[in-house]
Amino acid sequence: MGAQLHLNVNILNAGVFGGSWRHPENPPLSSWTPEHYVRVARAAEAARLDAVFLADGPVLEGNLEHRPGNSIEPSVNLAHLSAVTERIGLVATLSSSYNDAAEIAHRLLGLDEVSGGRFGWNVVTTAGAAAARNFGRTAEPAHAARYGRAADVVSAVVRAWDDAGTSPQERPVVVQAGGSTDGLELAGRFGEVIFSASQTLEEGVAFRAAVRATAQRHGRRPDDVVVLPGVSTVIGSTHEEAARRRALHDELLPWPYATARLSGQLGLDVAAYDPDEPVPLDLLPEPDDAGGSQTFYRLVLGVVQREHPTFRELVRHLGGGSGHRIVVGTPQDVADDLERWFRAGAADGFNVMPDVLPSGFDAFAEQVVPILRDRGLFRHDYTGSTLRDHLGLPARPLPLTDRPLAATW
Amino acid sequence: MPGPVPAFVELPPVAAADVPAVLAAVAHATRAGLAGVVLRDAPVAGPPASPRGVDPSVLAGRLAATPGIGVVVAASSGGHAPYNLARRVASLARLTGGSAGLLLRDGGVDAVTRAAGGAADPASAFAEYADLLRALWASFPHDALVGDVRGGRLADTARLAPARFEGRTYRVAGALNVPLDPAERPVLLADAHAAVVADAVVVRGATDPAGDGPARLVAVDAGAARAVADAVAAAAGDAVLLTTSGGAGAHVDLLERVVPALLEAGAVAAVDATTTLRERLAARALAGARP
Repeated sequence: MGAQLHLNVNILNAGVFGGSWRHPENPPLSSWTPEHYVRVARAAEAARLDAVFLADGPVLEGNLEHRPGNSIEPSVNLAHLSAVTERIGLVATLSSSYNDAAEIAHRLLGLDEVSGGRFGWNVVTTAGAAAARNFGRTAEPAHAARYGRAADVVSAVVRAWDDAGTSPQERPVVVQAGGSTDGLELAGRFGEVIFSASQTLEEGVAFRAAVRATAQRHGRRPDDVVVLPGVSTVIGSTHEEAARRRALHDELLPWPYATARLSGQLGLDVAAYDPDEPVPLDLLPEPDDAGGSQTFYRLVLGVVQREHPTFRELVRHLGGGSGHRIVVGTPQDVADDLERWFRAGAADGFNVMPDVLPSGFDAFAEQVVPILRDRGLFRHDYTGSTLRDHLGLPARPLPLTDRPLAATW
Repeated sequence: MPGPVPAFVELPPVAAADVPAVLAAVAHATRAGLAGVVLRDAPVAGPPASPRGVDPSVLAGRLAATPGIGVVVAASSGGHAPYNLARRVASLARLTGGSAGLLLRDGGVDAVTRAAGGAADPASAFAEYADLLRALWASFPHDALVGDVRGGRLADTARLAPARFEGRTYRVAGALNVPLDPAERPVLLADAHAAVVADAVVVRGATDPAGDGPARLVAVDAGAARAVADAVAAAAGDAVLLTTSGGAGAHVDLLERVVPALLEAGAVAAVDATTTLRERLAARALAGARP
């Protein structure tokens, strides 16, 4: 843990909640426009954040009727943002399953070069059959196969970057976000920034310790790994105002969307159950037996085991959002919470996921960041120009695989 | 005698060190009325980035911040899965407000498609790829986004047209996740001899066949011609594509000196910054000037 924490903003389209696009503070379709990203990136740079973060998948999500999803392709979106910002880091998610290693090595290194060394690659294996069907497949490759492939693709890309030797920050930063057993292994081996999802402080401490131990087992220094849990923020000027704002997100959540999403996360048809019936724990599979995104399945399973909620309560708890932890309160409350996690060793910083965008991020930047600064927990200004400078991460050798990439898998 | 046509400039792969000077020159020429740039790509094999030049879609993304810019990225079918390339170019169309195009070259079947292990038919693959791009660009019409806040309905998904493409080589189910107005859809370009139906073709040399369908972008070697204005006037097409064989310095000179002079002299037509790339290429057809 460094002396100061790191902050990214995750520009998760209209905001983290399923009904964020309906919130009266922002136009409902703004997240589909390039200007939306420019607006948030400039505000994040003005607040001296480490980076903007773009989630992604090469697929039109099935819930489009009820909420916006990823749209503008991240590498060109960041290329555009690199022209309208100067210092802030630029992190994009690209799939290791559905990209060619040589092609992304070239494209992403070019992005790093033209941005002056500000780029980080968030490696994802891309869950789901819908994405697989856009690339000549009928079903998603097995979880273990996707992660094996990811290790080989990351190795090929990092090797190409090292061989080229032209990155202004020596090498673009490798970011990883897996909560499964395979994901933790990948994160500990290659991840320099880890975007994690922990609901409780204890889970956060345990996850960060596990990632650091895995890194050490692979011959890396634990301090070369920056763990940034996702945190969804709902900020009000008083406790009452914050609580009302949180309740509004529940009201705005389109219910058909919420049940469909939970069905996917749990692997059972939620619409077939009474919303006020407790979630049947005995019907839920073990995490490593579940398909799809194991990170969020584990997270949801944890909530069910702890709280025995009804379906309706579970939907409200999760906020119909990404499944990341939600912090509701005054700017002081949010700053207190982040400081507690940081000092407890649950986080080296945070991937901030505002409730609505751009207005919810403005509240964070204008009201929470100054408090963190006053406490000596966050920078007043950039001291360098690259993403590695911001993160305090040297470009040390990574334990790459030496398997040749399989032509078919 | 037809009037002057819009001008494009072709740029070979740009090394990272040359990017600031070249992009500044592109911005300068764009302010003067240049219709757009065609960004060539480097072969997939070889070392990444600098020596091979920065990826054209990355350059185009940076150029999208230039008001009035038109960008055409060159890419090989062999270098990119069709969904990925369709999406990046569609994203450039969004970033530029409808001024993006793709110059597609037949380079065989890409590694991601091959990795899925399905059948492939080299004879029909390239035509399939072009058909698939067009299907994907039409798959998510922007007016499907209804944004009904009160009713909680973001999109009318009945208006989506997923590709559901089951070809001999490519199998792609989805709609693209990038909404496009019909007017802002990317322009598909190909070399005049390519065996695909394109919106526009690049014509190089007198032996290229005169097409009667797609718009013709006629290459003029601005480095070799003694009188560039005369060479431009002699090029019968819907637009000219100015090229030069020199390095980055020659291209900066072309953009900063030659193009503004041609525009100033009325030898090529200045484009209205608010027009789409499709309108820039079809200006003559729209004006009834084509035979």
